[in-house]
Amino acid sequence: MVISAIKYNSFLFIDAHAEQSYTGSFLADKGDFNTNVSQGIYGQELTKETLLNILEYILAGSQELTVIIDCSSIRDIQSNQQEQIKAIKKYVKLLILTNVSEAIVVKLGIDIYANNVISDGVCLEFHVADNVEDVSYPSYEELFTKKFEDLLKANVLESEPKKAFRKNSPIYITKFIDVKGMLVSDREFFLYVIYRLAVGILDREIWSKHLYQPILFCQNLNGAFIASVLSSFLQWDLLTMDHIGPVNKMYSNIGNKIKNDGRYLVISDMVCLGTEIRICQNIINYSGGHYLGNASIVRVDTLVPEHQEKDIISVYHINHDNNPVNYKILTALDITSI
Amino acid sequence: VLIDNGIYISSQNGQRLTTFKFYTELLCDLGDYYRSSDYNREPPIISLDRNLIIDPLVLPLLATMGAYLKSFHKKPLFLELENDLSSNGLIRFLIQSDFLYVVGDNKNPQLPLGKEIFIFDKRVVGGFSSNKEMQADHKLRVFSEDDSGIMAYKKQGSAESQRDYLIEYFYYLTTTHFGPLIERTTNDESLIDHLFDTLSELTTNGIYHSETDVFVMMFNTAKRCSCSISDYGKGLYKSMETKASNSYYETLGIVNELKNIVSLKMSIDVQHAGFAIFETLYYSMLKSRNGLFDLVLSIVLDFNGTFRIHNESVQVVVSARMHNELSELRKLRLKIYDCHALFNMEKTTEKEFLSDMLILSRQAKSAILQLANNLFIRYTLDIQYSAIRILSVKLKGVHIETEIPKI
Repeated sequence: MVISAIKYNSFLFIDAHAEQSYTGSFLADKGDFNTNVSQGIYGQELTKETLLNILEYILAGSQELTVIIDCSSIRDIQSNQQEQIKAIKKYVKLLILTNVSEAIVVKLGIDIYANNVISDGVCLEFHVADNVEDVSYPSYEELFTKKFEDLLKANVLESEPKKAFRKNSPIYITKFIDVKGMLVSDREFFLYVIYRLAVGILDREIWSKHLYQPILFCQNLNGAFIASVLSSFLQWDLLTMDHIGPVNKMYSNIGNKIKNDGRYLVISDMVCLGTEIRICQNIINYSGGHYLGNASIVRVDTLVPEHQEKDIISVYHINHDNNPVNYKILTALDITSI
Repeated sequence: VLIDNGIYISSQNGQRLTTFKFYTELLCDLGDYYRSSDYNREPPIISLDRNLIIDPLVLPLLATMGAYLKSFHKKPLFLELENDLSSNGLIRFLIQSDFLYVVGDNKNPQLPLGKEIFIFDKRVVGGFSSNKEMQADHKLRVFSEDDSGIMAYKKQGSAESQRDYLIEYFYYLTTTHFGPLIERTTNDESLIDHLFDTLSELTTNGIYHSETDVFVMMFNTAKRCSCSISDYGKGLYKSMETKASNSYYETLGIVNELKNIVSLKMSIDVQHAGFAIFETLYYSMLKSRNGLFDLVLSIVLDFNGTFRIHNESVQVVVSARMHNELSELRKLRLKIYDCHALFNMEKTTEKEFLSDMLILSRQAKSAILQLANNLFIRYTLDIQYSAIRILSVKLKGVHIETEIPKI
């Protein structure tokens, strides 16, 4: 299975480090009860199984394309993998490795394609071919955003303003973003979205560079799924408390679940007004833990940037300038026909 | 020291038991035990002095020796430990490095499963005089072919895929087991990657060729990072015997030529054991795969380290003293590697490839023969500082130590 593949016209894009993270987190453990293998997103060596997965994906319907494999964040490669590159090359129109280090090129034995420009030990665009021709293609970031927006649009549930009352906040939401639907309709890509969230979280050094690793805190079923994958990618613990629910709920037994001085990062699928996040923050801080912030897949920016909290991270933001699904938060003041 | 019914290991004048002493003194005593008139077909009792200082690199060898003797006598050996509750640092070291769990009969899945090599009195373990912990990841590891994680490797089709499968598996294991240790050793990323590659390649070789358990220990001190990998399998000569000839490689070609060239008088077994090391290096040098030979070159030339390979009764120490010869060999090796790469990527025809390889393999052969012969000549001139050590007692299997200094 390949999680990061994006097809665009005659191009196929793959992020090697995301694939390696998937292999290292979920495929590498061969079930020996005595050894627990899990590398998460910390693995930086590309292994054979990952290359075979990519090959399998190409064979299953993506042949004769120009395949672009991004190797940034990949530091090393398993020895003797020339065979795999040769096999991939056989089924594609052109194989391009981007941001690949010279050491990897040499170790793969593909330095015989000597027409590529390598400067300072890095090759920005290595063509596994004799002739290096200029190929122009959109950036992976653009394609990712487009693919994410398409998925988002396909999973919006619309309802009448009257029926759009959300019990956890006193507002009406006529367009409900169904994150579970996104997950179900494209499982592989959704894993890649979580991978990106994991990388983003790790880059926040104020969270990740600390003696005590944060604990992922999730408060609903979607959040629990995301947090469990994040927990494999980041190798951090997770705590789940379901049914944080409505604003006026009374909590009787929460104290014993939160560790004193534990550092908690709240994971959610979709953040609109952030009511549940606030509840979580209160529960955590009241019970003696430290609330670090919030990480989510989609976030609605209800405030202008300078008023926003700084302890949030999200894969996709919906805001005034960027609102492909025409998302709206309504109150009775906006709705006349109630 | 040899005693009535076994071997008593102690440190004289506070000297530590190094792998050199293991090969030269301990194994000799063991040989004497089997030759002595008291020998009654019972395995020797190994007893450890409570003041013994043991080099961590010896632990895999000790476990290998025990495992081999166990397979010979078909029963476990007795290990005598003394604990007087005041100077029991040795037992503490043996337990904290997991040695006693690996060689004992531990069934607790939280700890390494015991291989039942030694029997010892469990009551002596404990009551440690100091609670000082050693570095938590200085542990003896054992890998074996029937670990459930690698049982599937034989189904992987070709020999190369089997090896790739094992290498990948051990890459994950070594990063899990030794990752923190290696990352404490150095900040040099290429060195870290290289150490992971080294460990997974050597462990794979052990499992793949020896068909026995493989014992691995990695250790770092302020000055160096060393690891020791050992098995008690069939040894290099028997492995090399099974390699098929082709148009540029002749089975046991190096061994047979060295028999004619080297003038040093040795028994046929010692000749086989010693020459097979060079045969193996040569074979590895001709292959399209990155393997043992590239590893040796890289440890010595790139990281200024030492590579010691011990096969049956001969040890060869490859170190920076052979810098010139090794640099020449590396040039040849790169040419051979390129030659394979070009052919593999279909840039040269088979005919061109074979004719190139024939020339290169001849050059490589004469270079290896030259190197081997020089080493044996130097051995006759100066035994003490020779890169070759011929030992009077053999220890079955292949035992490799690598040492990389910290910069």
